[in-house]
Amino acid sequence: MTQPLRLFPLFSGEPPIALLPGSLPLGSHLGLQGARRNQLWLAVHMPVLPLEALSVPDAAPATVVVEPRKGHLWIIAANEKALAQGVAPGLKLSAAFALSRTLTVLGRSPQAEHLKLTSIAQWARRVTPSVSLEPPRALLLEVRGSLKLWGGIDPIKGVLKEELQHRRITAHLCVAPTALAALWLSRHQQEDVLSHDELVGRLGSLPLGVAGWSDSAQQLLRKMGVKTIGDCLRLPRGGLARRVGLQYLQDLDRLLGQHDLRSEFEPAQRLSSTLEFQDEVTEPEILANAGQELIRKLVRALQKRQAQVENLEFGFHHLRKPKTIERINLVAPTYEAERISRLFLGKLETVSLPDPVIALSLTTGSIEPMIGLNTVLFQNRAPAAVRASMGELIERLRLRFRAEDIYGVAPVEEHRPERAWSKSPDPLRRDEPSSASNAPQSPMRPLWILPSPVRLSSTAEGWPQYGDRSALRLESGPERIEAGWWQGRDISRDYYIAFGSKGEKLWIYRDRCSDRGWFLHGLFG
Amino acid sequence: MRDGVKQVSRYAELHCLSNFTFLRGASHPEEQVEQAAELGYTALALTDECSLAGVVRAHSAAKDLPLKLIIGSEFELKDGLKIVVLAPNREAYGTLSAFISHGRRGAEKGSYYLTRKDVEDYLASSKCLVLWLPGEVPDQRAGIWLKERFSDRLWLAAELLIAGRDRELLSRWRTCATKLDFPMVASGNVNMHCRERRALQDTVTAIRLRTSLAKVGFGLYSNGERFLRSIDELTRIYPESLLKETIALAERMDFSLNELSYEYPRELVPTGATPASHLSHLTERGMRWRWPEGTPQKVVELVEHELRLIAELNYESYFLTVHDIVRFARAEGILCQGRGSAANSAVCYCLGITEVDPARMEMLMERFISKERNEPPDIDVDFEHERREEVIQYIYRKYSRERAALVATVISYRARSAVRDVGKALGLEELQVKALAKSMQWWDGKRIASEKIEEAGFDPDSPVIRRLMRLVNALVGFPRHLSQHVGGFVISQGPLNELVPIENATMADRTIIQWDKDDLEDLGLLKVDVLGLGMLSAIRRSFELIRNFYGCEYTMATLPAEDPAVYAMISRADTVGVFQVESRAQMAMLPRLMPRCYYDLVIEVAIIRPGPIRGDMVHPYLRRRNGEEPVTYPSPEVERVLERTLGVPIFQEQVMQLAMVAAGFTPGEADQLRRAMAAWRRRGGLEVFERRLTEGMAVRGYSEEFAKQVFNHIKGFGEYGFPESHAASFALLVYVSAWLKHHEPAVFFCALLNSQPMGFYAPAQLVRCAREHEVEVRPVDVNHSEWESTLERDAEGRPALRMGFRLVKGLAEDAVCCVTDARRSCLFTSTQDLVERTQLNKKHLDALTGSGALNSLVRNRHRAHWNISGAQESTPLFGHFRIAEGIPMLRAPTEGEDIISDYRHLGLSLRRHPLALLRARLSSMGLAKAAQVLELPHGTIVRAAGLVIIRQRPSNAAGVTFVTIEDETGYLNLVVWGLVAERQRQILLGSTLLGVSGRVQKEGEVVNVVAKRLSDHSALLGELPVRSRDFH
Repeated sequence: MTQPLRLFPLFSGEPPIALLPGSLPLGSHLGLQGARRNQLWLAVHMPVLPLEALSVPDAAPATVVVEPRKGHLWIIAANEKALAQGVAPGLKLSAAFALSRTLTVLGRSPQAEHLKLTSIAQWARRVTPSVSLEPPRALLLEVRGSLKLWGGIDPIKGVLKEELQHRRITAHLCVAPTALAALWLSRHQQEDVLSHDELVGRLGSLPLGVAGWSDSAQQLLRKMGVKTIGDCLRLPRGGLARRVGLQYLQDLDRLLGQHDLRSEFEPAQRLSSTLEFQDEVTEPEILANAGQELIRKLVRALQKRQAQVENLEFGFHHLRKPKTIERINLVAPTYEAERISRLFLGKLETVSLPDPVIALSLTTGSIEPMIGLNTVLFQNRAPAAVRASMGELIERLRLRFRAEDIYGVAPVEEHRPERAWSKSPDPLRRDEPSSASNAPQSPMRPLWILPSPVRLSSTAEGWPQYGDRSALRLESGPERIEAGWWQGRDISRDYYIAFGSKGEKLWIYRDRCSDRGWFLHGLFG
Repeated sequence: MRDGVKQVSRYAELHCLSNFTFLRGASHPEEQVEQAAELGYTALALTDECSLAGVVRAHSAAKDLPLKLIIGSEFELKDGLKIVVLAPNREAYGTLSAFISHGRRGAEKGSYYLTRKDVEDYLASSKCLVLWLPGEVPDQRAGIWLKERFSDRLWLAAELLIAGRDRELLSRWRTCATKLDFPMVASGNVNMHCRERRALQDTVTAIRLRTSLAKVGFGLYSNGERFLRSIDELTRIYPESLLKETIALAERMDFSLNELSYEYPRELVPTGATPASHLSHLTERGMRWRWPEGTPQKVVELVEHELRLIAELNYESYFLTVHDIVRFARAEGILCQGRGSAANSAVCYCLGITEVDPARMEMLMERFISKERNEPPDIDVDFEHERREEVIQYIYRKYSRERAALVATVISYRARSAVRDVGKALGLEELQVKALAKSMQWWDGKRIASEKIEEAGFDPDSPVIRRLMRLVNALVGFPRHLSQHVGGFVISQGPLNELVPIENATMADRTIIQWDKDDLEDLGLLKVDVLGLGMLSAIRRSFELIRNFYGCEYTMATLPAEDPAVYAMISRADTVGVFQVESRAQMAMLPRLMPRCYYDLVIEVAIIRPGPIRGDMVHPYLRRRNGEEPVTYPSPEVERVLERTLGVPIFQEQVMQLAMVAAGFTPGEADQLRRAMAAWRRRGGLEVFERRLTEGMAVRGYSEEFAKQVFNHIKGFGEYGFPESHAASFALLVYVSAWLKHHEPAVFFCALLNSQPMGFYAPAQLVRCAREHEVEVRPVDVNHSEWESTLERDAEGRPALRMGFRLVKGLAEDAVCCVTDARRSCLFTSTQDLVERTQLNKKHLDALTGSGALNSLVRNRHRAHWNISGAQESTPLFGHFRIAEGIPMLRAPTEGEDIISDYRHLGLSLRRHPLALLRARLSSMGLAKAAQVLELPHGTIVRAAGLVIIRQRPSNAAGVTFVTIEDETGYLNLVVWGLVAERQRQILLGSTLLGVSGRVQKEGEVVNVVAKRLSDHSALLGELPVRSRDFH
């Protein structure tokens, strides 16, 4: 065997596996920035994120996003068309309907918002490594360290604005010496504050609402005539803390420059590694070896992190052509080298490469923490183990056929025969059979149901015929089935079990909805 | 041949559910009965699951049809057995009813719990017949168990529903029945009256199982065969022997609801006396009480006459029962007042049931009860609304729950609830369903129009929505559950549960029967209405306040009668707070009607009602009264009926009498007409009477035009017609409350404030009106207020009104006790003092502060809030200790902020009106003040704005909405016609500060602004929480 392999580590040291995309080494994910002087914070406030996260097209009619609170639906974001009709965030949905007759109403999706926020945060790490999430709709960037690199605050804001515009995110950016100041100013769309000296003056006129404090705290303060941050700052500290709560006082302290501890954004981890060949390679053995090498390294890296993977992607890089990609989707997450290897080798047998290969890469989907190590302690083929081997069988079958051609069959609670079963994408998952009392004792059903019923001719007397044009003998029935009107396709059929002249046992029905014609729907074995 | 066909082509359905088996049955009982008759069935058994709630409706529907109605019920026992129990005679019916009551009383509302043991206890030794529903695989042991108990009263019900194995099932059942030796009948497990209800049947199933049609799966039946099938079809399905046995069984049935008779409790009559002698004894005693100086001869004669009539009709016990309830209330100091057909009689006056002095009004009792009409006497008794519960519990105590129960009210699907449930069943998103249901504002009527669907963001032509609409329209009107009637009681001598099943109501301590008031009326059973009326609470309080302040005693009967000053006030429409005549429509009428005597008030109460308005009786009456139109009568007979209302029928009784004298209706027919009138809007069915009326009148020489006019009156009356007998009682309350308002406004408004919620107006309007009547109203004050509003003496010794703590939102009565207790020794000197000496929690302190009740202790509200929120509660060890604190820099509240806070915590303010603050702004927008508008001539185009106080959409007449707006100078009444309302309904419904441009309409003293355009200026108000009272 030749020795064509040259490791190409993106990082030096063990393991030669890179964290994508460029996150910091482990152990530094909690940045303690504390009260470093000379910090400069950039807040990115995205007021319309709940709507924008749902990717509503520009051409959409007046649209709002609502959130349930205190038994009502409240509007938290609205698109331009809705705003033009006077529908604004903060309204009850019922009030909004009063303003706009046609309103598309979407429910808030915290997941979509989080996804959007993290994706922007990920991107923002190009500007500064110190990015933190301010859910639900803001990011905070510490930018002092990046000023030199980017040549000042304006270029930084510029590049951010451009990216946000590209992503179709409405945002207001604001810079201030403390994180909270930047955040609160951005919420009220204020200008930047670059020095500490200006801070108090500029914050004083902000309305109380920018702090995002609890309703009860805000209400209490308003009752005492406190309407602005400035009013708050004027109150005796002890008195304020006793009445409203210590955390609000701490907020005010952090606003003006006290310790501000915030956890930094850490992107989801994926693992990747590449092996470059010295020559162009076509031999499957070399590719196989290289692949197994990558898999071994991957598994070492996984073990180190107590993690496992479910999705993998092998890239066969060519010199002149775009790389060939082969994906492996496991039935369940794994950390076993052997299992991945087997699947990789299977892929290798079927893959068609347009060109020789110059490098092989392995990239994982996001890695997830291992939950309960089930390494075999005793050689005892427990049901779980049977399941696991079934899983392997399915994975291997899927290598041979199209993945979607391998599916399970599950019974569906439904009277219409053609809908009484369904494909289940996960052949292993078997729903518990529904309680026996629920399932009616229906008469015999054939094993084979035709994909769609076939019309039968009938005799002059109206009896159904099949095959050699002799009338069928009706054995039992009718079983009347009527259902489905709610999907717009009502059926009303009388089913019979019938015998043909050659003794074939058929499942036929007479359609009561239309012309009372006869149809063949199934065959008994 | 013909005979042979007839022999087999008979069928009786023995197992049939209606929609009173909630969310299982998909047809009304009437539909089932009518369809069965249509198909030529011999008999139909209505067998709702553990319920007889639908039987009266079925009974009424079957009355004139060639169909025998059998009463029965289906049961599924908890230990697994399904049976149908049928009642072949009265005794068995009683057993069945008691059995159902037992099952219902022992379970949560809406469900039942019955076991084989209960069957054994109740049914085994009864006369009830039993059908066994054996299921697909009969459990022989269950069969034997039944056979041992019911022997020859037991059948196996074979139900063949084309499920594919009918032959197999039939032979299996036959084997079982032969082995156990009992006969087999055919039955159909019917859920709906026709095949077309399948979609609705599936839908209600999904609703019942709380899922969607797409997911309900085997919860649905596999086909829609559970309907009333044609006899031809049934003969094909069932062997002849089974059908014959079915008929034979049906023929054994010999019971009709007509046999139910009912006895009033006997214990009210002392031993040795008869009901008649006891009643006349009580009446005589009452005469001496009412006329201590001797009863006028006229009254003595009247009483004698009435007693004779009562005796002829056997109504003594009814009067005694009502008397006993009233006697209890009187002893407890609960103010009450009877009304209804028998209430305004001299006997009732003597018994204290009513305060309407027979000498004051020429009323003949026959006008209200007549032996010919054969209708039960009707006495509703209104009690103070806050103390009615005491009366109800007295009735339960006195007669026990076995003999007294509340009448049920059938709660039916309305458009909004139907949309919600059907929408969910069709799998619409929660949000979509919400939006659809939301768009049904309170005035959308009974159906959903397609515009409303568009408004909610749907395409009305999409198949899903069309399906939804179809189902919703079918579902509207379906009973959903039984609730309790507001106060109708049935009390009986024997066990009530053998007359009608009794079940639990939602409220603890309440039990209801399974029939509603129409059902009772259909069967001729008597009920007593124990109702709550807010005005009685207010009047009782007024008398108490007068007693305490002046030391003089008034009652409704002893108040100076027929005071012209009182009528003058009513004629000015100065009637905010006055009973019945305070609504917009009433106020508009008063200056035109100018009531001058008690009977004018009776007419006034009855005429401004949807019925007479819709029947177009108001204007003819007014014209005739003002002498603008001659008073004519088509005949002397009609004159006798209509004389007292100038030839215009105003009362329900007049319409019936008219039908009798002019169209020759028998009293019985007239009574049917009355009931049809009440129901036609829901069920229709007046056409028969129209023909009958026109023909009858033509025969008697009345013009067709007159007949048409009378019929229009009848239709207009619908369910809103007002009987004279009720109006007479209400008119007394009108007079009493108006008298109090005119002579003792401070007392009156104080009593009204303490009786809230009631009436038409919120405390804000009441306080404003009190101040307009020169009552000094003083603010809530922690050092002076009590829980209720009180009277203090003003500088001249007249009563001043001190607002009570109960007006403060979020304050509880027991919390306030500690305030009034603590200040007894000495008044509070500071907020800290208040906190230290009371146990008020933060929430209560906050409410007090917000309402301004601490303003006498501290410089301003902001400081008060600061002080209160920082106040320390005492600790057991150290008691009170004070923390030294810096003085906060707080700004003083502006006037606007104070007003907002007043409104938020009290719903009103004694400071300036909020619009006074906005006046400069409003003037610059060209909006006039209310007072200015009132001065403008008729026809002027004007723009104005005000806070919306009331939105009212009377259910009559062309969709007009009446809106009352208010500014610092007074009220403006707006008339919003249907078109404007529809175009701008969102503004109309959504605005707090409503702007209007329109035309001034003046008629006498009444000024309205007819709106052309509306605008919403609510944003100007900032945070002011003003709530309108919406009526429809």
